[in-house]
This record gives sequence, C-alpha cells and structure tokens, in this order.
Amino acid sequence: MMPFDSQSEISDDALMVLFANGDGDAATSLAYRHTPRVLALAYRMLSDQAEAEDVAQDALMRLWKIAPDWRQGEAKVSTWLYRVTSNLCTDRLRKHSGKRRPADIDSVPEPVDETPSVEARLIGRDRASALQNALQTLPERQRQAISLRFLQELSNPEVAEVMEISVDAVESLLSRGKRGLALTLADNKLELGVEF
Amino acid sequence: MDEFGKKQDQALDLLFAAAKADDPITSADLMARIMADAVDAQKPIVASIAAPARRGFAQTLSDVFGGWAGASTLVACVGLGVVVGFISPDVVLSYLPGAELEQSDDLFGLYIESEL
Repeated sequence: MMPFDSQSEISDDALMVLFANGDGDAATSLAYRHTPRVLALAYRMLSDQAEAEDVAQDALMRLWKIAPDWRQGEAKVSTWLYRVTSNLCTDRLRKHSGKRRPADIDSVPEPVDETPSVEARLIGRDRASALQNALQTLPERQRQAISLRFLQELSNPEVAEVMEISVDAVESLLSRGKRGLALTLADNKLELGVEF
Repeated sequence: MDEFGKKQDQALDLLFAAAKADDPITSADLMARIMADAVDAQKPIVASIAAPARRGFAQTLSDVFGGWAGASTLVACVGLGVVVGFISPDVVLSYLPGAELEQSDDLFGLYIESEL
C-alpha cells in the first residue's frame, strides 16, 4: 500500500481501481477528496448537519460498493457522487415533505474562515445563514441547480450532467432560482449590507 | 444584462461567497464512519485476493489439456488413430521400420504381429 500523501496526484479513476484491488489507502484518498464537497451539497439541500452527514456517508458507501464495477472514463467520480447525493437528498426531502422548516441559526455550523474582525465574521455568518434560509424557500430543483453552480462551482454543462437535464434547462433553473433568492433576501438587504 | 440584473448578481455573489466560507466542517466522526464502511466494503475483495478459490483435480487436469475443447480434440484424435490402426494396419506399420505383418484369425478377424 502507498502512503496517503503519495496518492494525492493519482486520478479518481486510478484510485477506484486501487480500491477495487484491496488498497485501503485509496479509500482514504477518495474520502478526503470528496467528502467535504458531498457534505456541503447535502447541507445546502437539507439544511441539517446530521442529515447531511448521513447522506454523505451513504453516498460514499455507494461509491465503495460500485468500485469493482467502475468503468474508467465513462463518468467522473465527482459528478457521479454529486448525482447520488442529489438523489439521496431528494428522497429525504420527499420523505419529510411538509415537515421541513427553514434552517435556524443553531443548526448552522461554525464558520471555517478566519476573517480579520469579529464584525466581518458576524456579517459573513449572517449572510451565509440568510442565504441558507432563502435557499430552503426555493423549489427543490432550483435549489439543487443554484447549489451546484454557485456553491460547488460546477460549470453549467457539469450541472446539466449531474441533474440529467439540458444546459438550457439548467440556465432556466438558475435564472428563476436567482430571482427567487433576490426576492426573498430583498427584505433583509440593509442588515446584510447588500443591495438588490 | 440590465442594471437591476447586475445589482442582483453582485449582491448574490457576496452571499454565495459568505456561504462558501461557511461550508459545514467534515467531522472526524464522519470520516471515521466513512472509513469503517470502506474497510467493510473491501473485506470480501481482500479475502478473495488472499485466498483464491481452490481448484479440483478434474479442473486442473482439464486445464492441462486446454479445457474441454482441447481435451475433446485430443480424445477424438486418439480415437481416429485407433480406428485407422484397426482398419488399415499396413498403413500404420509402413511407418514403423522393420515391422512385419502377419494375418491370422482372432476375435476381430485380424491378427497383427509386429516385430520391431
């Protein structure tokens, strides 16, 4: 087995082959590479840290299971994981439909960034919370498209691949999603220090 | 894009940036659970690599002769050789220097005596 550091330059496809051949370090590399992104997407979709963690674990579990049958070059591991994560979130949202509530401030995790001042940190946190709450008011597909495009920073074609729709449809979802966010957030523009 | 659209995008960009900086932290507990799943998923793979399936004697023998196709061909050739030997022994014996053929009654109406 190779040490974790030596696998940082290895492609996801190659790591999948290594994993399928019994290399435990390949699992470590894949997990460290993809879990934060999967978790972030699940959190944006579900607005619940514990549920997002369960989804992330489930998505990675599915990756381990498919590794022996993984066909190199057909799909990117990241795209595949985003799609699985989106589907898992959709399942949970449908299961909980009617019971969901916008995220409250206590369920938002502590910020990671080291902003220079307390004030800046508080503003950043307020903005993040406001956006997270506004996201929950969007229809599920718009929320998914916005999260993938603007928070996970995928390109429009990549979003289309994950969501299994056309690029035109992605653009339409993004446009409506942004309009919906702006409408929801406009009431708090002074507190958030932004202008719509 | 009109002025309103530009303003809207600028404002949203600020909020997206704040949200990205506020991504949930991947806890050590979550990583431990994920790695435990990976180990479980790998167990059957590792086991199959460590102990390949045992092959029986018949399978090994079959492999020596190139599988069922090779073995069938070999049996067919041997059988053909025996049949040719019975029907036309002179043809066979002509390839053996110093061999002589005598005929006599036997069970098959043929008697072959070779002196090699």
